[in-house]
Order: sequence, then C-alpha cells, then structure tokens
Amino acid sequence: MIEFVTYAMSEQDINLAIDAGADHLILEDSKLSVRSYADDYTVPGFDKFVTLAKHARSLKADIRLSANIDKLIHSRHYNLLDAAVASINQAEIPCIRVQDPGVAVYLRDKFSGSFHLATETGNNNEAGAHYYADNEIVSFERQILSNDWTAAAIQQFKASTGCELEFQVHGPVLLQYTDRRLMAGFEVDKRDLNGSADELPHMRQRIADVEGRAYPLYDNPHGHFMYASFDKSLYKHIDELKKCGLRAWLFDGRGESVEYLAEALRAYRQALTDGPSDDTYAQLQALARRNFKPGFFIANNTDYVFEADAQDHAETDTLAKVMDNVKGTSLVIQALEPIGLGYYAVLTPEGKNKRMHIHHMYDLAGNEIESCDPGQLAKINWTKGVYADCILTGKVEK
Amino acid sequence: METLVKPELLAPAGCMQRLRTAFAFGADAVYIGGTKFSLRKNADNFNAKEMRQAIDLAHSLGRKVYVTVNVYPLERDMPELPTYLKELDAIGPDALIISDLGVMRLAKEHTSIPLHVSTQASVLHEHTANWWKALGAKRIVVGRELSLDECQEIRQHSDIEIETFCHGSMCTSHSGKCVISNYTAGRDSNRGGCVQTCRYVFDVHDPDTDAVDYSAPIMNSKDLMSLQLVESFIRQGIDSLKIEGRMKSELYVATVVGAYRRALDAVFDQLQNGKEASVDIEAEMREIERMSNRQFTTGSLEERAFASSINYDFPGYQKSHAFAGQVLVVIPDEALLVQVRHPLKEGDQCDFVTPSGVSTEIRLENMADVNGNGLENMPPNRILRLPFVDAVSPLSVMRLRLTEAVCT
Repeated sequence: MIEFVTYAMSEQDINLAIDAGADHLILEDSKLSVRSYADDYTVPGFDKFVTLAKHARSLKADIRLSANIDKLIHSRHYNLLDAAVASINQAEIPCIRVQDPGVAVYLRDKFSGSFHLATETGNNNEAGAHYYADNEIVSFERQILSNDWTAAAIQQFKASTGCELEFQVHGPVLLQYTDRRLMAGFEVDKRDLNGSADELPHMRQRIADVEGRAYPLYDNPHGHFMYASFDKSLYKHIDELKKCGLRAWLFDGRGESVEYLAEALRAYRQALTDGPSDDTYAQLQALARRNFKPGFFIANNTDYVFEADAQDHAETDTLAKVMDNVKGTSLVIQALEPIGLGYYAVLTPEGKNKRMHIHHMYDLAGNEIESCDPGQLAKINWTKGVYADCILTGKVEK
Repeated sequence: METLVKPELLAPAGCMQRLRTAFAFGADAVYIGGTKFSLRKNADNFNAKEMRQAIDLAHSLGRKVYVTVNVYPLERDMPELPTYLKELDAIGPDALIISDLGVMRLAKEHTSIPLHVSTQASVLHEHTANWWKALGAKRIVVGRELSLDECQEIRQHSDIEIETFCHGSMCTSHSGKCVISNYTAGRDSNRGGCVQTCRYVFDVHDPDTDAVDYSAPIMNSKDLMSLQLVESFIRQGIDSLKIEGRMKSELYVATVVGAYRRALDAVFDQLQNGKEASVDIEAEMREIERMSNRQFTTGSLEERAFASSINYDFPGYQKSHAFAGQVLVVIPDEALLVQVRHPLKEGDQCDFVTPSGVSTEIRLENMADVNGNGLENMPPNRILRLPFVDAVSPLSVMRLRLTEAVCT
C-alpha cells in the first residue's frame, strides 16, 4: 500500500489530514522545522509533540507519526534537540525526519526509533541512497528523493533499493534556503531599524518577479526561502507514479489553504483506483495559487547541451596553444608537449580544423630554436587562418 | 607558548596559467576541476593530460592539487563515474573534493585518493563532521554559515582536518541546497551549471495586493574577505584557508593569494616567534578592493550574517583597476613580454604586481608587438613588448589604472 504523507502543525491540520485520508503525519514545531507555518518559535519546550500525537491517535489509532527536525543544526541548537527528543520519546513518535545526517548521529543514543532523510539532503542517485541505507554509523529507514528524479530513473531504482523511498507528488517546490534573512534584512537596512537576524518578527511572505514569473518568498527566523513559480503536481501522471514502486507519496500543503491539501489527498486516493480525471484536476488547480507542472518527473534535461563542450575538451589532445598573431609575420605558441618543426593539425575556437607547417621557430629573445619544451613560449612562422586561442592538436604528415 | 600550525593556503585554478600564478604568488595548494563532475562547467578546467601536468608541476614545487568531483550527480550521470574515478586514481591528485554520498562510495571503491567533503555538504557541527570522518573523509570544508568559534568547537571535538572559505564570492543560500538555477534557467546548480539567478534584481510584490513593495537584488551577497581575521584562523586551528574563484582572472588569483600569503606568514611569525608583524593588513585589503568586487563582508565568520552581508543597492561591480595582462617572459635588461587582456594604449598608467609583493608603476611608452614593431594601441589576446622593468618577473600581473573608479 502506498502511504500518503503530509505535514501537520496543529490539531486542525490533523483533523483535516486524517479526514482526507492521510496515513502518515509529520508533526511540526517551528523551532526545529525550517519552514513550518506554525509560528510557535517563542513557545518554550516541545510539549506540542505529545499533544498532537495523542490527538492524532485519538482520531486514527494506527496513524503513522514522525517528528520533523529538518533544520540545519548548529551546536547552539543542541539544547533544543535534547528538549525535542524528550518530548518525541514521551509521545512515542517512532520516527524523526532530518535533513542533516549529523542530527541523526547526535540523536541515535537518545532515540530508539528510525530516521527518515528529507528531500533537501539531495538524494540524487542510487549509490548515495544505498550508502545512506547501509551506513555503518547511522542508517536511514526512508529517504525522500530529491525533486530532480525522473519517473524513468525511479522506476529503475525500485528493484534494487534496500530502504523505503518517498517522493513529493504535490505542493510547492522549495528552490532555495538560506540562513540569512534576506527580506527582513532589506527592511532593516532600508528603515534603519535595530534588530538582529534572530530577533526580528517571524514571518514575511512576498512574491518575487523573475522575468515575468512569480516565485513565492518566505522569511522566518530560520532564514529565507524561495519556491518555484509553479506547484508540483503528478496527479495527471499517476499511472507513471504508480509504476515507481514508491513506499510513500508526500503532499506538502504548508502555507496553502486547508482545502488545497485536503482535496489533493482525496483526489490522489481516488485516482489510485480510478485513474486521473480532468474535472478533478481542474478543481485542484482552482484551489491553487500557481499553475501545476510535473517538474522534472517526466524529463530532466538540465545541462545536457552544455555537457558536449566538456566532452570535447576531455577528448582533445592539446599540444600547444596559440598566444599571439602578428598578421603576415609571426605566431606565438605556448607548448604543452614538446613541439618541433613539422606539420600540425589545428583546431580553432570556433571548432574548425586547419593544418599548419612550422618551418621556423625562435625563442622570445629572438634566438632560432628547433623545438620548444612544455610550458615554454616560441615564436613561429605565421599561417593564415591561425590566431590566438587556436590549439595544435596533433602532428600530421606533410 | 601554544603550539600553532600555519594553515594551508588553498587557491582556485581554473586553468594551467592560473595554477602557475597561484603557486608563484604563494599558494600551498590549488583546487582544480576536471572536465566532468565539477561545479564550474564554465571554467576552462583540466583534461587528463593537463591534470597530470598540473600535478607534476605542483609536486615538483612541493605543493598540492585537489580535484573537485563535487557535483550531486543524477542517476543518469553515474555510469561514467567509475571510469572517471579510476582515471583520476591513475593521475594521482592529493585529494578529491566530494559532496555526494554516492560519489564518496564510488571514490572509496575505485580510488585510494584522500577525500575532502565540500562545503556543498553543509557540515555545521561536530556530529556531521565525525560522521563524514567515520565514513572515510580526511577533511571537511565547513558550511559558510559557520562562525570561527563554531569551527573551533568542531576542531575540539573532531579528529578531522577543517578547511574554511576565507575569501571570494559567496552563495547566499546553503550551498548544495539551492536549485534556483535549475528552475529558472534549466541549468543545474549542483551539477556545475549555476547561472546565479540569485544575483538578479527581484520585483518583490505584496501577495495580497500584487503591488510592488520594492525592487532590489535581495539575494546578492557581498564578497567574503577575512584578511583581518587571519590571526583568529591560526589561533583556532583551521587547517586550510580556501579562496573562491576558479572562474576569476590571473589578477584576482595573484592579488588575493599574495595578500593572504603575506598576512599568514607575518601573523604566524608574530604569534609563533614574537616578531613584530611585518604586514599592513589594511593596505593589503585596499589592494584587494581595487579589483572587481561586490563590496565585502566577513559573512558568518564573526556572527550570523544579516543585512550588512547583502548588497541590496548593487550598482555593479566596483573596481579602480582592470586586469591588463600578465608577464610571460622577461628578457633581462631588454624587454618584458606581456599577454594582454585589456585594450591598452600609449600613455596608460599601469602597475605590475609581482610574486615578491613589489608593486611597480609604469606609464606605457615604447609599446611594440612581439617582433619589436612599435604601436600605439594593443588589443586583448596579443603579446605586448615593453621596455624592461627591474623587479618584474614572469607571472607578474599588470593592472591598468582606470581614470576613475567604475561600476561594471
């Protein structure tokens, strides 16, 4: 059975999520969850975990629960971790979701449950996922794959993985996370207010316009966050999604309306058996503030085009580089390999192939020489069509 | 007297010429990228043969070369990785800089090269440092969100080498966690394609009214400079100080490496041997400020970075000097041959910055091409012949004084 996972930071969230069919709730407290909207930064302690867990179980006894500690921890936060894990243990929450593997290392002697690794860890490939799963220091029961994964790659993965895999299927996509409070900082700067990054008010939301596309911004005491201009939705691709063999699907409705999350959970549950419907998709879209897209789920072609240049460089055998061209008179080359008189193949910066005949060679003091050692410069006879930044790629026959 | 260790000075080398420059100006080690699996696709980078030559040169000088394999590869990238790692193992760099756990696993399997964990992995405390150590890492490059005091805490609780950035451009975001470039430009931030969308001016709207509240480059971090903190780096036991900038010029490499070299040597001598410091840190900082920059910050090295670390009113890169060229050959008592990187004309005011730290001013006169033919103007990518200048040695860089400080 595919587990439906979502975040909950209040009893209202829990009511709504369970009613809509969630199987697994990630409980949040703003002090250690980097982008919780709970706004409980100044509430001391983590009793909330106990209260929320109890409430969730009262509604659904077999609900699976996790506690979210996806903040990137500094040593000054150890006391918060200690307090949080005490409450997590008291609440008998069996799982903690982390971004920083070191947090699991810190907690492993204080917590007997399992660890899940958040998507922001950057789980991009199978070798890494296996190493996290088999890790001799602390192992991770579940990994939430990065949003860079395509359906095809996940489908190949499922047969060999040793740990549970989860994937975000619906909701805003986080693009950036910084410890610096960029919007709060701007306002402090402009208004000449006093205050530090830690002391300023809790939450600012804005939209950034980048070349006509609107990207949500969010600023809280943990820093600054930027989201994609669209929301990820794999609803229309649910058949491909089912083939991925994922243990869990993640629905992130944080910062959105209560209907946004509830309807998404219901729609995907229905589509699991009935397949996607255009009407339902339109209803989901109507509840969203941004258009839906599948992100990189269908294809991830980032940087394919640019990798060809690197490949050319990797395979090009450079004997020397042309450093100077005095038209009709001379060229200066810098040797990477020993260069003597003779015929050479030349590659121009534009990718054209030429050939040249070196029949005279001088050092730069003007003394005639017959060869040039690696690293040295030599002045040679001029050849039409050869100029600075051309490279000599090989010796050729006359 | 406390036992101090002088940190390694680690410089960027985007190509062979900058590698030579870094060593000439005092770098103990350089980091370079191969043609694959490195985060600076737009740098010239090194193919296998060039890498061998770089390492041979470094080792002949008693210096080190670290090779970046610091991408977060996608599954489709992985089949090529073992072959590349075996190739690197045969070439023999002094370390690989990695971020991704999958890369680490394969590097352990296919090489015996020591592993350094990149700043991309956001190591912020000793438990994460110890985790990487237990997996086999020799060094961590700590996250740029760490203060020097926090670095010292890691030092006290972890038996792992600590490297920290001391200078250069900064990601505003947690390195390795940012994918803005992926979603705005189709270029993968964590696979070498970052286009720095974060430097843009953003129109920031109120989400309720859609009115533009303000327009500013709100993510535009100032550049890191910490020359004034060299004493703290030494006292807190940092093993290596890293300078950012594999895509920057020979002038940048020469100036920044030279300044940190002199500062490290002088301050260390003062702390270790009680000698009077023989370096004027403020003067060195002014030299660095002459080159293209986004203004400077100490980032989070002293306290959590906030408003003053962002250049919200960015008018452009600031500089008073431009990179004019680099001395390729010195013909004693006769001529200097300079590879030109900026249009030059007779009468321009320039100065040479030499590996020994001497700065020599000249007015361009008697300019000639490589064959000695006089000329009044010289375009970039040519070799300029100038009259001999005493104390100027090969690899010295030439700066052009701009008539007024500019923003570009």
